[in-house]
Amino acid sequence: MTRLRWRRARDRERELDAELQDHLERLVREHVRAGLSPAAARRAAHLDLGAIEPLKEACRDVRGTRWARDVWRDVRIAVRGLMRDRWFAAVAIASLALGLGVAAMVFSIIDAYYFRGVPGRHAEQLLFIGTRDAQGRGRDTGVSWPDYDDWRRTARGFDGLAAFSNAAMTIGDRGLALDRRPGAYVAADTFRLLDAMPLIGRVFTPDDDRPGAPPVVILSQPLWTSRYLADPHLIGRAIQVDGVSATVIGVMPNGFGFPFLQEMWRPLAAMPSLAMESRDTRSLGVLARVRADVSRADALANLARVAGQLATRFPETNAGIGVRAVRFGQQQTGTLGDSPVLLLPVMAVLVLLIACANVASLLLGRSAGRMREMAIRASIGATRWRLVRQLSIESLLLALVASGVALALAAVGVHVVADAFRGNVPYWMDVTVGRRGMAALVLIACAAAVVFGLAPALSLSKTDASRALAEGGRSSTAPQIARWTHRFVSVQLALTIVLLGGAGLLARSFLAVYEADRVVDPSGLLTASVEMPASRTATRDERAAFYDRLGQALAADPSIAAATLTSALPFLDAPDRRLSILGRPLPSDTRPTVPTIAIGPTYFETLRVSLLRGRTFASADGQPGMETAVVNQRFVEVYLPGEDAIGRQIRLDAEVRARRGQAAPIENDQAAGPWLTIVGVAPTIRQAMAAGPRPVVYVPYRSELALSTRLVVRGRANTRDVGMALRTLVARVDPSAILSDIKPLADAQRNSRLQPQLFASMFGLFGVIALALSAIGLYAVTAYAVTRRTREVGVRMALGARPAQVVILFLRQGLGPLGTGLAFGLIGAIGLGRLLESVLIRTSAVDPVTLVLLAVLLVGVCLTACFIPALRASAVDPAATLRHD
Amino acid sequence: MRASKADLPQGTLDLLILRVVAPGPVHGYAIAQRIRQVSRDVLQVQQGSLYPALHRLERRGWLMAEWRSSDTGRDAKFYRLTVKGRAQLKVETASWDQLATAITAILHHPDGAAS
Repeated sequence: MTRLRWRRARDRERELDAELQDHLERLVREHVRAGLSPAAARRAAHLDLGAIEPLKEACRDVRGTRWARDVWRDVRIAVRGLMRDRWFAAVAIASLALGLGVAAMVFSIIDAYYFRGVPGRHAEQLLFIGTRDAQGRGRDTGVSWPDYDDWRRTARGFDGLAAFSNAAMTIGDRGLALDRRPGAYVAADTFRLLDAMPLIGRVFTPDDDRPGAPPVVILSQPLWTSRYLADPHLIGRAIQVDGVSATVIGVMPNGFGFPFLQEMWRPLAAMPSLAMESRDTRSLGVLARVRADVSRADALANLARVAGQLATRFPETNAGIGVRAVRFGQQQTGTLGDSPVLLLPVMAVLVLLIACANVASLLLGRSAGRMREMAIRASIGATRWRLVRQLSIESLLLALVASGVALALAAVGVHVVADAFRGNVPYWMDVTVGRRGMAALVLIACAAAVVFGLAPALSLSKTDASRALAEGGRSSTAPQIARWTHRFVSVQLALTIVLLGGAGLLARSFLAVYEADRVVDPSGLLTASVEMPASRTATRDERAAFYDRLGQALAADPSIAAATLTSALPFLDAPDRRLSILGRPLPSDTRPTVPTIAIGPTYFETLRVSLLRGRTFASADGQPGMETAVVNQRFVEVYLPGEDAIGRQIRLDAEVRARRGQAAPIENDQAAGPWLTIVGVAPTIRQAMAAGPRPVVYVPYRSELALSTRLVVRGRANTRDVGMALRTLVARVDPSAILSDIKPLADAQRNSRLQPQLFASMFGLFGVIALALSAIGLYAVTAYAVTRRTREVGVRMALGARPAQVVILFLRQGLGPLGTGLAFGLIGAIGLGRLLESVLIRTSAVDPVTLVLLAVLLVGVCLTACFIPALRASAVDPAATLRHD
Repeated sequence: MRASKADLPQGTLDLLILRVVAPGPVHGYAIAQRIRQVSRDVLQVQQGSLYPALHRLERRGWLMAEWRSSDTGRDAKFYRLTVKGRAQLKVETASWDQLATAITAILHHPDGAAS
C-alpha cells in the first residue's frame, strides 16, 4: 500500500462523514419546519437515517476499501495491545526469535555446506567424476590420465571433461624466499566449464595445455596481492614455479580457488610424469559439464559405456572400474545423509518446537485473560471472523518482529561458525544466511504464529458472549486451555531434557579432548614445514647431514629458545606402523598398528613436556646399534600393562597406509624394521583428530630421514618475528630448501578440535536456550493459573488457608507436567546418546551422572519458575479479590 | 415516514437515481426528496440504501460527485450524470419501458396470460 492510497482512503472517510452529516442536518431542519422541537427533530432525523455506522460500512463496502482499512485498524489495535502487554510481547518475541534464530542458523550452515552448492550458471550440471573399483571392496578412487584421455575423446553428452590434480607448488623469484602454495594442474577447459573469467590477463588455452608448451601459470588474487603487491605488470613476466621459469598469464578474481582453496594453477600437461602415468595410476579428478540438452543420466550412461569398453580392451587394469559421479562440490562435502551433522538440524527443530510451544502457551494464557474483552466485542457486533482475524493479525505481528530478530541472531551465529571454519571449507562455499533461508524463516515464523495463535483464537471466537460476560472472564473453556498448556509444557520439558542430555554428552566429550590437550601448551610455539630439495637427497647421509645442519642452526640461533624436528605435529594425524612386541608373537594380520612419529632430541623439551620415565633421545640414538624408541603412557597401558616398559623391545613394520592419506611421506628402507629398545615413557599427547588417547611410538629422526620435516619452534621472549627468523635460518642452511606453513601450533590444536567443539557448543547453545524457554513457558503457565484462580485463592484464604498452602497448591499444579516431561525426556536422551555415539570421545553414550545432574537442574529451574508466581498468589489479599467483581 | 407506501422493486433504485440526477447536479438529500415528491409520496427511498447506491454508481463511473456550497451555506456533495451515466440511463429507461409495457399488456389483457 502506498502512502498516497492511504491518504485517499482517509479523505474519502472524511467526505463520507460530511455527506451523511449534511443529510442529517437537512432532515433535522425539515422536522423543525414541521414543528418539532430541535431536540425531538434531531432524534427523529436519527431514526430516519438509521444507525450511522452500518450505513457507513455499507458505503465502504461499495468502495471495496473496507478490507484493507479493517486490516490496518486490526494492525493498529494489535500494536496497541502488544504494547500494553509489553512483557507478554517481549517474552513471546524472544522465545520465537531464539527458536527461529537457532533453526535459521543451523539450516543456513547446512544449506551452504551441503545444498547451495557451487554458484554460477547451471551449476547442477557440473559434475565431479571419479571411479569406483568394484573389486577390492568398492574403493573410490580417481581417474588415470590414459582413461581420461579416452573418455574425453569418446564420451558424448558433455560440454567438456577437464581433469585436475591438486599439488603444492613452490614459487620463487628474485629477492623473495621460496614459498609453497596449494595449487592445481588443470586442463585448459576447466575455466570455460566453470565460467570463470580472469581478473586480469587470460586463462589457459588448449595451446598452453600441450606437452612442450612454454610454461605458464595463473595466480589467485590473494597470492598476487600478498606476494606481488597487486602489480598489474606481473602479467607476462616469468616467475619460478617448482624450479621452472613460468610466465604469469592471468590472475583469477578473489573467491576463485578451484577445486578447493587453491592459489595457483598450471596446465595439466605441465604436471611432471603425467605422460608416463599408467592406466592404473588413478590420481586425477575430473570436472565435467553435462550438455544443456542432455540429461545427466544419459550423459553418465554414455560415459559408463565408454568405461565399459575400456574395461574390455584393458582387462588387466580396467576390469571392474566403474564411473562415479557426484555434483561438483559434493566430493568435498560428502552428503548429509551419512554425517552426524544431520543431528544439528534435528536438534534445531526441537528447539524451534520448544519455542513454538512457549508461544502457544503464552498466547493461550493471554487469550484466556481476554475472554471478557472478546465477549464484549462479540456482543457489540464483531463477527467471529473479525475476532479470529484480529487475533491472527496479532500473532502475525509477533511472528514478523520475531523473524526480524531471528535473522539478526542467525546472521551473527552463522558468522561466528563461518569464522571458525575459515580455511577449512572450499572456495565456492558461501556460509551466510541465504535468501532461501530467510524466506523459509519468515514463512515458518508466520505459520507457527498463525497455527499456535489460531487455536486460542478459535476457542475464543466460540465464546458465548453472554455467558462469558456473566462469568466475568472465568469461562468454562479455561480448564480446557489449562490442559493444553500443561501438555505443551510437558513436551517442552521432555525436549529440553533430550537436548540437555545431548549437550551434556558432547560437552563431556569435548572436555575429554580439552583435558587431553592440557599435556601440551601450544602458546608461544610456532610450527613450519621444511622440505629438502629433491636433488640433494640421494643418499641417507646427505639427508642426515641436512637435518644435522638444520638442528644445529636452530640450536645456535639467538632468537630461538627451543626448536625440534618432528615428522608429525601434536594434535594432528601421524602415520601408523604395524607393531610387534618382543616375546608377544602375533600373526601379522592381527598385529595392532600404532602412530609413529620421528622426532629430534629436543622434541619434549620444546613442548615443555617431561618424560614420565627413562630418557629422551640423544644425538647418537637412531644410528646403527642404537636403535631406540620412546613410547607414550597410553602405549604402556594398552600393550605393557603393569610391566616395566623400559628396556622392552618393539619392532615397527612397513608403513601402513596413512589414515586420511595426508601424512608426510616417511621413507622406509627396510620393510621390516630393526628391533627398537624402549628407553623412555612420555605422557600421552593427543595425536589424531579429536580421537581419544592412542598409543604412540616416537623414534629418533635419524632412523627415518624423510624428505620433509615439521619444525616446532619456541622463540625467545624478545623475538618479535620468529617466522622471519626461521626464513633466514633455513635459507642459510640450504637456499633451495622450502619453508612453508608457518603458523602457530595453536592453529593445529584449534583445527583438530573444530568438530567436537562445534557439536558441543551447538548442543550447549540449544540446551541452554531450551532450558530458558521451558522455564519461561512453565512460569507463564503458572502465572496464568494464578491469575485465573485469584478469586479462588481469595476464597481459600478467607476460609483460612495459609500462604504456604497456597504456594504448595500452585507448585503442585505447575510441577504436574514435570513428571511426564522428565520420564519421556530421559528416554529420549538415552536414545539421542546412542545416535551421538559415533562422535563421542571417551564418553559413554548413556551417562547416568549427566542425566541425574540434568534432571536435578531441570527440577530446580522448574521449581523456581513455579515458585515466583505461586508466591505472588499467596500474597493475595482475600478481601481485595472478593471485592474485585 | 417509516410506514412505506410502496417498496421500490428490486434494482429500480439505480434507475430512479440516474433519472433524478439527469437534469443537473443535486445532493443526496434532495435526491431522496425528489423521488418522494415526484412519485407523490408513493415511492419511499430507504435512507439506508440511498447512499450505498450513490457511492456504487459513482464508483461505476455513471455519477460524478463534487463538493459545492449549498442553500444551507455549507458545502454539500452534489452528484451529476457522466456521459456514461447518461447512456446507461437511456438503456435502463428503455428496458424499464419495455418491461412495464409488457407487464401492463399482460395485466390488462382480457384473457390474461392465456392468449
